Amino acid sequence: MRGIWLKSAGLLMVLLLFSLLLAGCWDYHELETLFIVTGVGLDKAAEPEKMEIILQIGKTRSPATGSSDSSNQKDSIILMKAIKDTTVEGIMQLDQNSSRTLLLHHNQMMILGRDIAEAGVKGRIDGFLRNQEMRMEILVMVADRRAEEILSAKLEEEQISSMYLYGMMQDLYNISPYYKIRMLDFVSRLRDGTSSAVAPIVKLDELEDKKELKLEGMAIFKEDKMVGSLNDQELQGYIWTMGDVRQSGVAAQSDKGRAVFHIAKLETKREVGLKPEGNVRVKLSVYATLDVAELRGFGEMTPLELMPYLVDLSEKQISQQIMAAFKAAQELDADIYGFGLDFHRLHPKVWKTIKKQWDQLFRELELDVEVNVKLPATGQIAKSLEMEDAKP
Amino acid sequence: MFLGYIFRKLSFLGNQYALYRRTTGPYDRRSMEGAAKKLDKSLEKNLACLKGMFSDSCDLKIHPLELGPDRWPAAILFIEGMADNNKITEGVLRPMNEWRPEGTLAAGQRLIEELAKKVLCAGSIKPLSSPEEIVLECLSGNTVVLAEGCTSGLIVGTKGWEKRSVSEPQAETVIRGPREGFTENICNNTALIRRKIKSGKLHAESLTVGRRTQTDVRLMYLDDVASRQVVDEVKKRLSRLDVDAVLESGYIEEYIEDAPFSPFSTVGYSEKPDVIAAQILEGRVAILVDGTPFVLTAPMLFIESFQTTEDYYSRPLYASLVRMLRFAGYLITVFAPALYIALTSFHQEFIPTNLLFSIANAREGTPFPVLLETMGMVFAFEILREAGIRLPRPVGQAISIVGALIMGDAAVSAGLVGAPVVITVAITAVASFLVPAQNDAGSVLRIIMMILAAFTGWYGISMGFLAALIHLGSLSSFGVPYFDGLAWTRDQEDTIVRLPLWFMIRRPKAIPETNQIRGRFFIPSFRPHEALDEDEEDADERRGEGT
Repeated sequence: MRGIWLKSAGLLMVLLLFSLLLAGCWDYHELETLFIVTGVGLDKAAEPEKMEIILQIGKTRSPATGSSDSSNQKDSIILMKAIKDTTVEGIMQLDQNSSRTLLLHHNQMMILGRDIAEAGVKGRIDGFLRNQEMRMEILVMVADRRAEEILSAKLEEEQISSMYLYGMMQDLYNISPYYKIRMLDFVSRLRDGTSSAVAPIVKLDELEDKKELKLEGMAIFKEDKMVGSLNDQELQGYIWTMGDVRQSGVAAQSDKGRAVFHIAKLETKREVGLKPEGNVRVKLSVYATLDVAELRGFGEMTPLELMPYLVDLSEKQISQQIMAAFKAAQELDADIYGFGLDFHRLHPKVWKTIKKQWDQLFRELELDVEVNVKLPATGQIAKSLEMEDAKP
Repeated sequence: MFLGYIFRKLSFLGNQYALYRRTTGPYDRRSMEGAAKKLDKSLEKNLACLKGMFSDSCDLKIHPLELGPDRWPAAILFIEGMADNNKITEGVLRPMNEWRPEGTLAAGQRLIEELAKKVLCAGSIKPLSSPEEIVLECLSGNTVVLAEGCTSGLIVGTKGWEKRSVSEPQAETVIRGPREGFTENICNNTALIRRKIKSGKLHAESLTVGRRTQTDVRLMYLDDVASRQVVDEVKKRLSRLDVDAVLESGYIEEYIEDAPFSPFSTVGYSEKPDVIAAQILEGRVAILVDGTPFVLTAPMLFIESFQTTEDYYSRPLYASLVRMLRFAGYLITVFAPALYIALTSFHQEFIPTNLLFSIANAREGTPFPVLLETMGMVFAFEILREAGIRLPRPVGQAISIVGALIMGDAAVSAGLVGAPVVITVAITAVASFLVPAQNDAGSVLRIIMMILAAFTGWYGISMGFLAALIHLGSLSSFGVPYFDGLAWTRDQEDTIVRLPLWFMIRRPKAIPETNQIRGRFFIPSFRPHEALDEDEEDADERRGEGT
């Protein structure tokens, strides 16, 4: 009896060990059998319904095979291109036609070509949302011209342009989280019906000796089509409206001189309400803590006069920029601020009745901006050099 | 199939043993063939008999004597090298030669008594009449005095052989703390422990184990602290021992441990008297074995491997930090190569992109799959370690050069292995030295984890981890749960952190003992001065109770 028990226990253990082998291995990939995709770009193809799917792949180089390779920096990325109806078809085709498996987990961003953004993106990004390998964390950006030129750009600072862009957006994220538009943010704006999605525009500057990527405002989407964009000044106003700015700068010009302030903290509070006349009014209170970063001019003013004047000046400048961004958005009927969502949250019953006509309401929306600036510090010096000069 | 084979083999061995026990009965170590039961009156016959019992060994020295003016024949026997020549000369030979008895010699038994009382000078003198016992005493270094017409001999304590002096242990070195270590001499070792615990309650008990080696084994424990059950269990297991030879405490450990097939050892050991004293003070039983500086302690807890003496000699904050470091080190040494395999071959999405690129760059062009690569490096390290231990010290230098340069640098620059693998294995190797007591278990677990990781990735590692935890939880050492203290139930003063000594009022509950309180709680800096008087009174009271 005992022998049989022992035998069966042994057999059971061996079978259990085998089951381990059965469970594993199906997603086993050695690193050298993988292509690490760092960026995906979508461009409109010549044929009407098709699009170009561009994959940027970071090339791995063996350190052991000698240093001659490293001087040859041209090929630090591989660009793969397929022309297909949908993204997944394109990726599948590229996967089958390459020597290695595509690893999409490390994709940093989706770059939409301007033409495809203007034609509408809803039908193009379904694959990104369905595929679990494509994370919702990837950044969404719009190329100033075509996505391909952004992905193929070889910069001096970083060989892989999407890694460079990711770093750039991460840097901006430290200023305000609203700069960084992830797939999740982008799609949730697309889905909620009334808000408008935004995405940063990236532009390739071809200088004589090098190429440069830079941020060129923010694209505004109405429904799923790009309808316009905010320029740099307006973008700053938009970011300030959204609040939660941790560090930034604001420059203000007056007839007495030019002042640059450093924004230490900027927070906003919104109050959305329905006016008796039937239109929506948003009261936006901005609370900013600034300090003086640089002054030019103001020579004839004493420090005691100067501080209230600077507070006033910065309040005006902030308010003006916020209004400029709002005007731009209002002209495009695009609720990039999510005022509709705020309204929904505060007055859910009323919202049902006015949801349909939100476009109309947004066009007539009144925005009251009230800026409260605190200017506690003047930096390391109290008076500027020019002010001392002016004294007799 | 392999396991089946082991089980079959085991049941076969079990049957054989039962058969052996039935036919022969328990071994009686006192029975020696062809020996007389008692000494004869004739000295010549006795000498011949004893000579025969020593199988005519050349190191048995027989020194004939003539006592007194009557030239009464006598002889002394001892084993060369085991008895101290000085002691024999001063305590036995010289007094016997210079003895001038008044009147005539008393014959027979009286002579022996007289010799013992008036002539010989030594620490211990006792008469024995059984040749077997005489042989045993002689073998342990004592000198036997025989005389014509006497049916018993005198055993004179002259033990003394060349021995290593107390020196710093090689395996357990400390920066702060006593530097003495045990030696191969069991008497010396007992004394070393007794010097640490000067208490009459420190009980020492002697046993003899090993049919042929007749090895001295001593149990030491605090009579009023150690739990009866544990002491009895240790004694029971030792008494069941029926083996030919015990050359080192490792033999005993293997025979008395609870889980012989587990990678984890359930009997502790140390080479340092202060460690053993601390263990005894917590209610453990120390098992000293003659001929080895390694003293066993039972019961053993898993947490013991992470506690070192220096934890208690340095201040608690730093000690706690080091303790945590040791836990981290153990986790690293078990899991680091497995994690590397799992991450690079299954879970590339876990690795930050920049790190992934540098690992991928290193992997590019290496010829072997990651499991083979890592396994190879781990084995290479084990080979180097083993070679470093066994080789004589001057050659050991060469090993480290070969290891560092050829295995590490050359293999990477030749593109045979990737640098991340070398780094992973290196940190694994270094971390394994943080917890030396769990080194062997760690090596076994590491390889199991690596294989699991190579087949099923993170899933395999977590299953392996779970299995290891369940196994650890199921172990017990002499009736004490092995994993106690880490199970987050009790004895938290001295696990992940080491609380100040004045906080540890009680002995660890995990080790069953009868006397719980170890000391009184007080905070050094807040202690009021008035309390001093009160303390003295308390001490007086306690003294009163004691008498």
